[in-house]
Amino acid sequence: MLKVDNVSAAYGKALALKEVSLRVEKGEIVSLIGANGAGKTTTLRVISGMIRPLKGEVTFEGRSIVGLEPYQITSIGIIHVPEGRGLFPEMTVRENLEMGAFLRTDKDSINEDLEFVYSLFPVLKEREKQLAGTLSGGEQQMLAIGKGLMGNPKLLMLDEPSLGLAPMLVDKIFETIVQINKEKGTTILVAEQNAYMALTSSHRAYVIENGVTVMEGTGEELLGNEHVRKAYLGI
Amino acid sequence: MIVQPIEVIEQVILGLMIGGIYGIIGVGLTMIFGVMRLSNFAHGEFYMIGAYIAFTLVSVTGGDPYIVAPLAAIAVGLIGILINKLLFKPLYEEMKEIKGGAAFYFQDLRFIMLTIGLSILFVDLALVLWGPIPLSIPSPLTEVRVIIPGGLSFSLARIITFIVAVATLAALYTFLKVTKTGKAIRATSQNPSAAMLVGINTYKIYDITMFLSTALAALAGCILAPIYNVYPTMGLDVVAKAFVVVITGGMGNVIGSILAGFLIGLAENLGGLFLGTEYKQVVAFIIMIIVLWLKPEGILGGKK
Repeated sequence: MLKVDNVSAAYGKALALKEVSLRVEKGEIVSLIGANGAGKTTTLRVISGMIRPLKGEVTFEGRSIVGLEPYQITSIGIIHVPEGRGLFPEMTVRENLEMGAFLRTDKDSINEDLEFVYSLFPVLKEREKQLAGTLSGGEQQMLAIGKGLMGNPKLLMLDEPSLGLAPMLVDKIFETIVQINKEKGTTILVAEQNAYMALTSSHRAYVIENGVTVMEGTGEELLGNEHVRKAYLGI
Repeated sequence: MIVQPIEVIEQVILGLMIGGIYGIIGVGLTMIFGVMRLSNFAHGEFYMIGAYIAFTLVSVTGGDPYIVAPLAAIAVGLIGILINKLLFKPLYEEMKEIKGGAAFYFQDLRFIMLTIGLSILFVDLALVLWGPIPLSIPSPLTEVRVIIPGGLSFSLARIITFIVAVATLAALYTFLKVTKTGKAIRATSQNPSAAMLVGINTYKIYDITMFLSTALAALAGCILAPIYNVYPTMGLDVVAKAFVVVITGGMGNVIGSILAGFLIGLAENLGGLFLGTEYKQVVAFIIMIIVLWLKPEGILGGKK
């Protein structure tokens, strides 16, 4: 479904990605694990069109998406929930969810998706009229995921969904990610520093180090890998 | 000097009337700041160009300035879009390449310098095209006096100006609150990169914002032109007042600017009455200082 091939990217003169290659198949949960600054966020940004790669190719459903603007990439079904959650702080929870469906016109299925999001995160329904900026960190992350789902994604990309959350909430968020994948069949790509959570919840995973994807495998394979255990799981 | 109650009422009404105009000019400036984080020092020149275009349209067609005002506003709005596309966008794109994604790059000093340059350019352009001598745009409506109970009378021109100002502000507020484009503008003002990621074409939003902001300034220039004179530096006199309105109301807050516009219009006229007209100009700044002293973020600061 998604193929990233030998991509490099830079912020000005600072090279952030040297050689990133990965693929995501339909229906999978794939995670991208690595340390802070390894290039996880930049990889997602290249895919969603926030940054143009220096070289390399990104294809989605067989066609190249390099050079498309972010709003065009959103319109073909890749929804990126960015780091920092990407909410509209002065809008209510409900308005944020509606903005998530900005490009859609199918009223009935928008309402269905809204109900689905509320069933995943009942707290969002309770706080429907509250401003997004006044939510707790965990609630904001739920809203961020819910807002992403409202775009009816073919591929949902989550950047550090566990960042800044209490361990219990991290469990809940990853359970929900698996649930979304199972119930809706949504393909999901997660960039995550919490390697254990990511690996136990994903079908496959990539390890990224210094802007290079150095390893690939199923969640279990990487959980058993000596280097991953030392570097990312602290075992 | 004893101030008669009727004089107070007169100044309150005149203050609210001019307040509506301050509101329109301030709202345009605050929108650009709120959505793009651009401090547009050329805002007064769009007001000036609007008045001159109205003057030209009136002299060519012989129509009434109040009839040609919307045309002049649209023309200036299109100039605003053009400036965004030709001048701002290339620099914005370059900064986007370096930093990645969307952010409030317009707050960069280079954009502010561009607007200062534009301001100088437009003043000179007006000097070349229309000359330095103040022009007046006569409208028969300035001659018509409307008498209200109590013995006060106001020119129909001022009353129309006030109605246009209030109607425009109400329409703008509804547009931002209700329509899909309005919501997209608010979303972009709160988080441009998140706006892009839900599928909003933020470039288009910036075009629309430039259009609305510059058209509003021009509209104010047009509807005031029959009451005041039109001259190349008229924008420079107004831009400082516009910034006072925007800062007092809370940078980027539309409702705040409307309220501050009326507040400052009222305060100026009452200040002129009680302190003497020589103090009229300074009242706006005093109000700003007091508001910032009590509430540094402005009357409705922080909210969008």
